[in-house]
Formats: sequence, C-alpha cells, structure tokens
Amino acid sequence: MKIDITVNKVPHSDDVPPSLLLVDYLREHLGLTGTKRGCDSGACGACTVLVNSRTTKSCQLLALEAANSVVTTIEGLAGSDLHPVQRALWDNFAVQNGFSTPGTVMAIVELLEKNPDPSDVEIRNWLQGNLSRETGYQQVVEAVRLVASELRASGGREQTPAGPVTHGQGVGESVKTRNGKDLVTGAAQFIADMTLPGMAHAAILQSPHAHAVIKRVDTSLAETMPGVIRVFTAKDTEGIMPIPVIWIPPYAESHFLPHPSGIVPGSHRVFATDKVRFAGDQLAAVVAETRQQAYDALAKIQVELETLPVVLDPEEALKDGAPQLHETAPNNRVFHTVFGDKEATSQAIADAEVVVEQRIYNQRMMHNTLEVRGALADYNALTQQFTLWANTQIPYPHRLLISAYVLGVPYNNLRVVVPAMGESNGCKGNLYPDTPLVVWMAREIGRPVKWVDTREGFSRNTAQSRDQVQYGTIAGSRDGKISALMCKAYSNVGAYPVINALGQPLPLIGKSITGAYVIPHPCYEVDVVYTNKVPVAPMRGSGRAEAIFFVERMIEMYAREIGMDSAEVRRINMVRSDQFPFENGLGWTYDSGNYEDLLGKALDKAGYTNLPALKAEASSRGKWLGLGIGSYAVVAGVGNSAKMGGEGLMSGTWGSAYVHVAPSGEVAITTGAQPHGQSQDTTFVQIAAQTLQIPMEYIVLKHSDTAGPLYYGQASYGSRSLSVEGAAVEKGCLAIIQKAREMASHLFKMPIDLIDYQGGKLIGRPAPEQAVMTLQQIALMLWLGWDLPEQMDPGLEARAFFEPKNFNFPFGTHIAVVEIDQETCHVEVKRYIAADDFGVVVNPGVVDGQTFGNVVLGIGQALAEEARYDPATGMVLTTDFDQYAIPRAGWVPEVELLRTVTPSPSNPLGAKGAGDVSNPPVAPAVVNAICDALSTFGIKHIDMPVTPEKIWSLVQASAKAAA
Amino acid sequence: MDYLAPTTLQQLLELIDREGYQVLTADQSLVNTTKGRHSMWPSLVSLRQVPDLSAVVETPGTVQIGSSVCYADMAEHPSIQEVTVLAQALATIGEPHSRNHCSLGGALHYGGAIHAPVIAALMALDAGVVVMHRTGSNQQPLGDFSQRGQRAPLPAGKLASAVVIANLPSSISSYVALERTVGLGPASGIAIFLLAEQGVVKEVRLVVAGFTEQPVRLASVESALLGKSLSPGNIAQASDALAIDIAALSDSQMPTPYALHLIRVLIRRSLFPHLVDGLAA
Repeated sequence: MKIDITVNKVPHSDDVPPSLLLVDYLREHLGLTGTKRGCDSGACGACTVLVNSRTTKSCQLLALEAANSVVTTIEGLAGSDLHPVQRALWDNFAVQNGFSTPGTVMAIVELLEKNPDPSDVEIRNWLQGNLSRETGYQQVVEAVRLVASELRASGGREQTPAGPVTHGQGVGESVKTRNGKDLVTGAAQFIADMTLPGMAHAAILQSPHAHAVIKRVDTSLAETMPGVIRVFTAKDTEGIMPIPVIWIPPYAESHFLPHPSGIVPGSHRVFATDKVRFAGDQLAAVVAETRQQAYDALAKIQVELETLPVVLDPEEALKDGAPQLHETAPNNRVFHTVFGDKEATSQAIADAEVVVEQRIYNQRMMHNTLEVRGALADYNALTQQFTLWANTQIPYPHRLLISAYVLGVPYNNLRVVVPAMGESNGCKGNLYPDTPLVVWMAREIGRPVKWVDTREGFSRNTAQSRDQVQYGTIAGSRDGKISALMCKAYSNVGAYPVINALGQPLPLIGKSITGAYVIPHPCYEVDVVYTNKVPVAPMRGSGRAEAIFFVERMIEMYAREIGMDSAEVRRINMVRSDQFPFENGLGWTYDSGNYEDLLGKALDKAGYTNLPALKAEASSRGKWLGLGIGSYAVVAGVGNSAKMGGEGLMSGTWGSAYVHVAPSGEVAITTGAQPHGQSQDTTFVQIAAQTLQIPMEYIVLKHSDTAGPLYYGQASYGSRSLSVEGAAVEKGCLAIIQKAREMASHLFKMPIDLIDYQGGKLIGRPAPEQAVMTLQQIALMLWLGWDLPEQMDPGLEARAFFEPKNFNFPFGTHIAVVEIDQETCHVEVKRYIAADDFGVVVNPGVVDGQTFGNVVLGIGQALAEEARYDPATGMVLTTDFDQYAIPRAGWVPEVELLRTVTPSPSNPLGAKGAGDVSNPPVAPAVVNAICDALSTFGIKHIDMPVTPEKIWSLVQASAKAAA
Repeated sequence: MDYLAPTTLQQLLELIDREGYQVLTADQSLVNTTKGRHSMWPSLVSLRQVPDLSAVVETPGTVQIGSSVCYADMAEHPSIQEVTVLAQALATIGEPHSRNHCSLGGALHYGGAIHAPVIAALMALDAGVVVMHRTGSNQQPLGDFSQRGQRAPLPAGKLASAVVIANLPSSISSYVALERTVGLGPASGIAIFLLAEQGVVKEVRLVVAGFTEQPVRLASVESALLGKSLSPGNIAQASDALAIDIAALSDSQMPTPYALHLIRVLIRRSLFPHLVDGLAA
C-alpha cells in the first residue's frame, strides 16, 4: 500500500506492506538505522521517534498509521551542529554504549518542548519509558537539567554552537568521550543495522519444551515457503563440533561433556541431536531472502518431542531419581569442591560463642541487554576467508574457538569484527551455538547470512546469571570478632556449561566470600549442578555479587544477634591498612586500601549517628526507615595468566597493545580490549597522551577487528580493561619513548642518559636549544631509515604485553536508606551513597557513569529482577520487559558519590577495576536497609527480589506470632 | 492482511461489519497484543482518518470524549481537567508514548493494564459508552466492558465511538494511587465517586485499578456504605464486605490476601480525607 510521509523534512512516497511497523519502515526502507529495535513490546523506548512532534515508540505503530505525518528520527535532529540535547548527553557522560541513546534523546526533545524547566522528578517520570541498562540514568537526568537551563537562558534557541567541551586531557581529567558523536546522532552501526550485498537472513528454531527426546523435526513445509533458501537441521551439521568449554578447574573431579578435540570438554551443539535440555536448545534454522520470510517459514517447521520431567532447582537436581540431563554427569553434578579448610572452619564454628545460620537464595537474573545478540557472516570461496561480524565482548577468543574447536577451519581464515555494540552485562562474553552456525551457513549457501535474535529468543538462548543457593554459617565472639564463615552452596549452571561456566561459582564466589574482612576460618563448599534452565554465565559483578551479598547479609545478622552496631562489627573486622598484602585464606591476596577510612566517610555522609532521629521522623509519616551498609573488597583486573591458569582458565589473561607512530607523528594504538561502553577510546588515549606528552588529538585507539596488528588479544570483562590492557598501552608508549630516545642519542651524538623526553620532544640536556626534536621528527627519521644506529630497525612502533603480578582489589562501602510504607510495604530507596576506591581513576566522568550503572543494576536485583520459569515445562516466562522488571529512571534517587584513591601496586597505572566492581555492595546495602527497617518485627532475612508482598507476609506472620 | 482507512464513520461501520475485519484503534493496542506476530492480524480498519472520533465535545450536562482522543489531549482539555477523578487518573500516566497514543478506543476494544486508572475513573463516574454499528447506535454503561477484572470484548461489527460523562457538580470524586517507585505496570489505585446529603452517603462508586487487567468495582463495599455517614467505623465496617469481591481478584498478579489488604488501604486513604472537609462537613 502507498504511504506518503515526511521524515526528517524529506517527503517520501513508498509502497509498503500493511503489516510493516514504522520502526521497520524507517530502518529498512529509508535506511534510518539510528532508530533501534529493543523489545518489540513498547517497553524499552529504543525505537522512540517523534511523530508530529510527539514521542512515539515506532515499534508500536504501523507505518501506514503514520501516513501524512511528520516524523523526526535521531538522524533528523541535528543541523550543522548537534541538537542541544545530543550535545548535553554527550558532554555529561550520559552516553555509554549508546544503544538506548537515540530513543532517549528523542523523548527528551519533546519533554523540553512541553516543559522548559522540568524538575528531576518530572524528568525521571518522563523517561520511565526509555530504559537504559548501563547509564544508571543519573547523568541523563543531569544533562536534561543542564540543557533545559541553557535553553531557557538562550530563549529557547534550538541550535547552540558546537563547542567541544574539553576538561584537559591527562589522567584524572573528565575528558569528553571521543566516540559520542556517532552514538548521539544514530550514525553508529550496530549489528542489526548492518547489511551486505546479497545478504540472506536466518531464523533459528528453539525448543518448545525444556526437556524432551527429539522424535522428529519435519522441515518439508517450511522449505516450500516463499523466499526460503535453505532449512538446516542436526542432520546437516554432524561435522560441526560442540561448543568448547575453556574453564576446567584442575583441583577436583568434574563432569563435563566430551569434545572431539580431546583438548577441552564440550558443551551444546549448534543443533540438539538426541534430546533438548533447555528452552533455548536449537532444532533448526531457516535461511531466507528476508527476515520476515525466515520467521514465517520457521513457524512451519513441525517438531515432535517426547517430553521428559524437568528439574529446575539445583538441590532437587542432585537427588537420586531426579531427571538426568547428561549421562556423563551422575546426579547432574558438574563439579564439587571446597575452598578453605573445612575441618578447621567447622571446629571454629563449634568453638564460637555465637553462631548464626541462614539460607540465602541469590536469584537467577537475566542480563536483558536492550540490544539482543546477532551475527553476520560472509564467506569468500575464492580466498576461503570467513568474516564474522558479531556483538561480542571477546572477538579474539571467538576467532580461536570457532575456527579451531567448532568449525575446524584455519585460524587465519577467520576474521572477527565487532561493530558498535550495545551493553553486554556479561552475556556477550560467551560463545553461543548460533554464532558459528551463522558462519557455517554462510559457507553452505554461498551468501552472507545475517541473524539477529528476537527478544523472546534472547530470553531463552542467551545466558542468564547468579542463581545460587547458599547455606551460611557465621561464627564469632560476643564482642564482635568474627572467627569463621562457612558457605555451603548449590550453583545452578543450567543445562550446559558455557565456555567459562565455572569461573563464577568457583573462584569468583568461592574465594571472595570474606569480602573486606579478616576472617580466620573461611570455607566455601559448592556443588555446581546441571538443571533444565538456561545456561549461566557471568553477569556484571559476576560471582563477587553473590559473595558480597552473602558475607554482608551474614555480618548483618551476626551483628544483630550479638546486639552490636553492624557498622562497628564491620569496622573491627575489616582488613587494616597495615595488613597489605593480605591473604584472605581462600586464595586472594588483597593489594592495598584503607577500608575502615572509607567506611567512616560513607557513614559520615549518610549522617549515621542521626539514624534514630531519622527513623522516628519517618515513623511519624507512616514509614519504616532503614539504613543498610554494603562494604566490599573484590577481585578485579583479570590476569595474571599463571594464576588464572591455576584456576582452570584455558587462556592467557595478559594485556596487549600495539603502538604505531606514523611518519606524520600521528599515533595509532591497537588494544586487546574490546570496548562496549566503557570509553576506552578516551581513557586509553588519555593514558597514551599523558605518557607520550602529546595532544590527544594526535592519537587514535583501534580495536574490534581481529585483522588488526594484534592478531590475538584478550578482551574486556571483569573490570580488567584499564588496569591490564590500559597498562599495556602505557608500556607500549614507554617503549616508543625509549626507542625515540635511542634515536635521538644517535642523532644528537649524546649518551642516552642525557636525552630527556619532555612535552613530546627529545631534548639533549647539554644543548637543549639545539639538540631538540619532536616525537614527530624522530618518527620521520626512523621511518626514513637514512641514519639509524647499528642494530636499530627502522620505524617507530612497539608491541607491548602487560602481565600483572596480581589482581587488584577495589573496595568501598555503599549505604542505602530506604523507607517502607507501613501500610502497603512498598519500598522506596530514599538515599544512596556509593563510597568507592578504584585506585587511580583516569576519567572520573566515565567512572561515575559506570558506578551509576552498577548501582541501578544492584537495586534492580534487590527489589525486582528475577527470571521466572514454568515449573511444568521449564520454559522461560519472563520473555520480555513486560514480564521482567528492569529498573527505570524513577526507581532510584540521586546517587551520592564519594571516592578515595589508593593506588594498586599490581599495575604501573595504580588503577583498580571499576566497570562492574561497585555492583556487588548494592543489593546487600538495600536488603540490609530493608531488614533494618523491619528489625522490630524480628525479620532476619528476605530473599531477593524483596517485593512488597514478601514484606507484608513477613510482617503479618510476625504480628501473628507476637499475638 | 488488508489495511483500510475509511474517512467517514459510516464507511468505517460498513467495513467492520464484514467478517474478519477488525478495528485498529488510534493507540495501536492491537500491535502490542500480537507481540510482533503480525501474520496473525486480520483485515484492519483504521480509525485514524475518521474525524468524528478525535474530539472532546461538551453539551449541556455532558462531556463526550471521542474514542481516538489520546490521553495527553484529554489531560489538557479544560472540561476534563474539571473532572477531578479523571484528571487525577490521567496524571498517573507519565510515560509520554502512552500519554500521546493511548486512547479510550484502545482501552475498550483491546484493554491493557496501562488503561486501568482511566477506566477506573470513568467507571466511578458511571460513564457511558456510545456503541455504534452499521444500523445504529446505543449507549451502554462503561462498566459493562469490565467484568470481574476481565475485559468484556465488544462483539464484531461494533465500535466504541465515544465515552460520555454526565456533569455531576455536587459530587466528590478522586483517584488515589498508592505511592510506588518500583514495579511493573501501573500502580494500584482507586477511583471514588461520592454523593451525600447531610453527611449521609446517597451514592457511591468505588473502583480499584492495578490488581487485574481491568478495574474492579467494589459493589459490596458500596452497598455497605449507602445510607451511612462517612465515619471511620462505617468505612472499616464496609471494608469488611470486601471479601465478597474476592473472586474478581483471583487473576491478580499478587497474592489475594495482600491484594485485599491494599484495597482496604486504598478505601481508607480515598475516603478518609472526606470525613472532615467533605461529606461530614
């Protein structure tokens, strides 16, 4: 049907199918891919545009319903300069990975049209429909407040001059992020935005039941559907090997699946062969001319299954007679191990004056990134080269695992490219069967193949996280000294081990349960168990979130048991500043810090001594007020390689950088890190600019392509980028300076120890006016190679690897103040104080944003988020954002930040991890606050998510017991 | 799938009278109900070009709201701003896409939790719905569209073209929502309408929203309040009658005992302000 429509001031007249949504018309017909698809149910706001100046979620509107309308998308907002809203978000670090940014910008534009002076509450209320999984909203709100003020001051002038906001360039400066323009204008190409000539589209069929024997997969009808190119099932992919597992702990017996390589164990195959074991097991794939045709044909595939009983609970799965998932794993046990001295811990508990026990369930979470996963692959039959574009955190491991362990093609024949990438939260740090399948299908059909998941598909096939039952015992004296901590845990890893499945339940939780404290006898015993749930992988705060929640809840209960102030119990048990390096008894060696000092600062900021008065005042308003503390010290900065190898990780974890100084003096640095919102493009260049003492404008950072000069690298995960990969950048730059000094020594005919490097110049100290050359001049001389010292190669480049001797251990204390309505039991977080020490901070604006994101995710876990399953079929029930509650802008108060700086000795930058480490203290701070508010009812613990219904039931039960 | 966008009401009614033709309301509720499975759609008849449905019309004694008027426009209309309960209910919907696109047509034809506060307010006002079909029209109580917490769909061939509110100047009405910062969907709330003479309740309607997809009228509580003075004791006593309405909450996403508790809280919070400065005064 014909549609006449004006988009971004350009009239269009097109024939469109009646069922076409506006979002698809904009993206596919007009190529305006700045408008994103996130949820397809109008919940996330990624697709927001303005229709006749009104905020509109374009996934909720048929294109034909917008006929004769004036539509503005993100691409039409900027003139020659950025729109003030775009500029404000960029200036205020409110743009991280940028996937949610275009929709958010569009909604803000209407807000400011309607309300030039919105309050914070009004801003947050307006943005309730624009989800962000990474920004934490705070910098967005601040940006709106600022731009509103600017617009009022300028009389509402729409376009303001583009003036780059610079705040210096060195380490410690809040330098404006470098890649923001493409993100705020919608120019950045994410995986779903990409097209290749001749590209076909794939759709993948998932199992309709979580546990069943496959009797028949009939594709005959699907093969006759319009546009279908090929339909693939397990009978076509017998030559494709299973996904490998690369975390094989050496210290206890494990029960993995076999892998033909004989080198590593296996996991699931690209298609299930005999049985399906979870809702995301894949049964078939259709490749068709269009995405819609592929999905239409997929619906015609007939599957016959013989259903089997499902088991979803790890304790149930271990019992005799429980449904068995894998023959190789009796009682569904993947792994059992103990960290610490169990006997000594048990004895310490037996000897203690006070013992407190509690069962804690750290619920299953979904990463639920707004951007789903996708892959686009191309195969050149002439060169036998594969190219894979995928939104992955780990392009180099993808290259290795797919080539060597799944498809059996030469490593050098596979190139992996990461386009602009939405948030990961950890779920994109995994290799899924769909990705090598797409690569393989591209070769089979001889055309590029693109697969982008659906929201519902994502809920079933993309790894989930947490999901651990913990039986805790804490023991100590009546004067508050902790003597022992025992955790008996059952970790639910779902139906298959993902590539790094055991990292989370083993070292990341097991070695981290002592938190910020000296606990003489800690012990962690765990059964890692298969169930019919979706496989589990690390999630932001991975492992340490479960550990810190555990220890912080146990300490709180212990303090209450002995009638001591829980802050004081924390203080007297914390690792003291004179105890570093400190061995925690489970395998971590803490590096540096003053935990007690930061605890005190956080308490002061919270007005802790005034707590009784605050409670009384809240009570007069019908509220129970509670204050909760979450202190933490957690491992970050993954390397070193030998230590990680000892844990069982079949990978190096060093950092790497290749630094190239061109004859022009321009510097290009290739990093082994994989940015996906952390702003390494800025922070790594700040490090390089400070080291090389040249303007940032001369330096670019390259990444996201395995065809770059690094050829193999690690990635970004677990708060390692800055302290490991960033340190490699610095090391590479120092190598450049060293070679430049050697060259200058030769040219100036002076000993090298008389050659200084200052302000980007090589200076011969004896004759600084004459013997002086810029780095650019030296680079040119080196590349010309006319006059080189003996043994010196031409050119100015350096390849640097950084292997930290130890991890680093950021720390801090977070404090939540909550109010609970005495009638409805609704919880409101009234104040949130995040006091952190991330060591040396390169870019405070960036780190603030990461902290806000961590806080919001933690509040989501504490109060709302949980993956739910149908107990009969094992199917995921929380398949979209209408069912799974992602925190919205209005859920959180303004987060109050406070930081100290204790350099880490583990790396020359002195940096500690920041990306996900401030998530672990959040949920315990909030739950501790809730339990504090309810302390008069004798409520010791509430499992997350703490809903009003749970609180009300416990209060009722307490009242009944008292009566 | 066919798509038709008639330009007159009569054309529209002729079309939807055909088998397999379905109304596509201005708020596109149908799009969301299918969650992207567009191939499930029948032939769609759009309301967007029918001008008669996009206006708020005042007549002596009534306000008539066209079924395509979006909530943002309703909230800004002076006549609606004077209807306290409706204005307050509309104010609870803060998210701009919903304000800009939700309409009563979508609420009545396809439902959805987002509409609950507005529908509860209209039920409390005893609003009527103009239902049109090819051969005529009639007006039926809006409450008929909500049965025991579930939406009562309109038969095929019929169009909810407008909602009519009668002016009731001497009454008290309000919408009270529970303060809630965290959670999915609209917060629970209650819409009340009260008419009293000399402190005695002559007419009362209480409608709760946010517990089930559709609002639920608390008929048993209303009956218990009729003819009584609005005192704390009488309110508490009337709240005890709530148990009769439990069946309607069986589909609530929250446990029934907690839902009942919240409703009692809502009854109290909505009625207590009127003990002194309302009816009792």
